Amino acid sequence: MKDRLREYITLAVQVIGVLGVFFGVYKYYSDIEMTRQIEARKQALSYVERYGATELRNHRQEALEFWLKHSDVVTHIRKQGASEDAYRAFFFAALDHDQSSKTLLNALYAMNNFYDQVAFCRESRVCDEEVIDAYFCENANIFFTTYDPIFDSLGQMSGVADFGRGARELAKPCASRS
Amino acid sequence: MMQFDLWSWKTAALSAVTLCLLSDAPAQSLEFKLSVSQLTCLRVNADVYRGANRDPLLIPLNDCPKLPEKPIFGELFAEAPTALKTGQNNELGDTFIYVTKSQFDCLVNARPHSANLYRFLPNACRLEAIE
Repeated sequence: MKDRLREYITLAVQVIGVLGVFFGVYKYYSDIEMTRQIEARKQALSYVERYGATELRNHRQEALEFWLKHSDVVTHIRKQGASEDAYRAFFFAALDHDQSSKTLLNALYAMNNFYDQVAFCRESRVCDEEVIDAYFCENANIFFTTYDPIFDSLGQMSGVADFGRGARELAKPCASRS
Repeated sequence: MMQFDLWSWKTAALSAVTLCLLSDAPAQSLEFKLSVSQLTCLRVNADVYRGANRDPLLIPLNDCPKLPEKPIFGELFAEAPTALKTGQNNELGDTFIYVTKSQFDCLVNARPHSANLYRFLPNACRLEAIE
């Protein structure tokens, strides 16, 4: 009777031991995953912070100033729409007559480069997908939709292949919703 | 930290290349499409546009011969910021053209073959019949 009890106890200890090992392994990987998620959120939030910081805020302001100068065109396109051909022709003609055209183009390149970085961070899972989508999707969608017709031209002028790719990727969740 | 440095270098290099190449025209052709009725209206009312006190001119083709008014600042921000949606079909002509006064003269003075639809290339000062 005692031997049988001892066998049960031994078996129970072995089972608990095995479960303990499994739990330990699970906890180990769970902790690693949790640490990865926390780091990914930190990375994503660092991009949110950069987006609101002086440099990119100034670039957005520079782009806004260009459109304010052409507020009649903005109003016209909002009301009556425009083809990509007409939009492109307007944009480069306006640049030709704008003394701050270099400032605007520099701003567009910087913003495009930023969206490329954010998209790369999201795709490589270094950045948290939920945070990135929640903060950047709408912004990237507005940027992408507004400048999409001139991305090819800007890419050709600068030698950058697939110009606007980052903004396009970031905008996908919003674009599919709208 | 290294990653950010690398990106900064890329940004700087890209900006430098950009600024060097700014003078180059984009490879895609820059053009507006006009229907025969839009072109006729511009020709008939050419003096209205020539007399406008701005250069370049924004000409809303479907409102011809009216010139657009600059919107009041508040109107621009009356609605939430939205993207400028493009991609409208222009097989019946564009909704607007944006040209200098000298380009406008090229447009109204050109006499290409008669057609229902024209292509205007402002930089080349050329009007071509499409169909």
